[in-house]
Amino acid sequence: MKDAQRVILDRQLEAAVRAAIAQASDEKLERKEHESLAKRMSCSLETSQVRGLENVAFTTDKISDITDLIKRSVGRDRKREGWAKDDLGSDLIAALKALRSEAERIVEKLPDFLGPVKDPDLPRGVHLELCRELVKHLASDYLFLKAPER
Amino acid sequence: MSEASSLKDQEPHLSLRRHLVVWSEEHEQSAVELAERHRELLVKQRLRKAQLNGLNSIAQSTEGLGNVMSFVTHQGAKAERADQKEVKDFWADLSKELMAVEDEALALALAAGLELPPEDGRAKKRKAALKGVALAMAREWLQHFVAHSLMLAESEE
Repeated sequence: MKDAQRVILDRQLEAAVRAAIAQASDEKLERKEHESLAKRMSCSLETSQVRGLENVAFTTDKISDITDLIKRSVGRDRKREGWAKDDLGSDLIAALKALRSEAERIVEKLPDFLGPVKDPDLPRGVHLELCRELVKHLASDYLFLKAPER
Repeated sequence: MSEASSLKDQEPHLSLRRHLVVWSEEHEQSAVELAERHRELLVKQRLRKAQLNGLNSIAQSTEGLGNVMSFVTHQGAKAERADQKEVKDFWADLSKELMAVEDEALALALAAGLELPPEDGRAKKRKAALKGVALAMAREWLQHFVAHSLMLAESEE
């Protein structure tokens, strides 16, 4: 494949993936899938804990860095009033991991002509973006729910 | 140095980072499985959180995997002296896992396109070149292992 042709396909792939992630994220928001998690977070977590989660999600290149942060936070929560309360941390980890199948569906549904530029690691990259979207929605809802307390 | 040659110099490191990230995500499950195999020890806190945090601190700050292995061996010997067979077995299992991680360093380095000294007669040089790769892999694996273990340590029996 010629370089110029490859650049065009790479850009088309990026655009298609971005659009699919945005659509999946909006659909989840409409279905209010994360609402109960956000409510539980607003009852148990401090703003700095949510900001910490957001920071890791948006700076890391690994999903396991996000889940490891949550696991360590559960491990520190001796009183079970924060991340460990009613298995909040475990449930968020499960929700993040469950996004893998959605990432695989998104990659499978990409148009065939983009096949030659599909990276074998693409499902993992899409999964990470879906995790970031989920964390973003959770953080927004958390701040909205916490607003009356301020 | 031109920008193009500078970028070219960075290529092996970027490639190694990409391969390491994928390797780390793929091997998270084996770290989780080891912690789950020793779940009882962790839940009952017969393995103290300080030991787990110490293990992770050494791994993240040391310059060689040998120091991590020494820590693990030392903890195993302490458990043996205290007649804590299950704890000793745990450290032995962890040691085996870390050796398995070290064994995978060559494959990862080759997949990432790292230039290594030839095998014939330069085994030491080759091993030294792989030292950094093995340590980076062990850090990733131990981060997963310690995080899952700390979570188990605070879970309800």
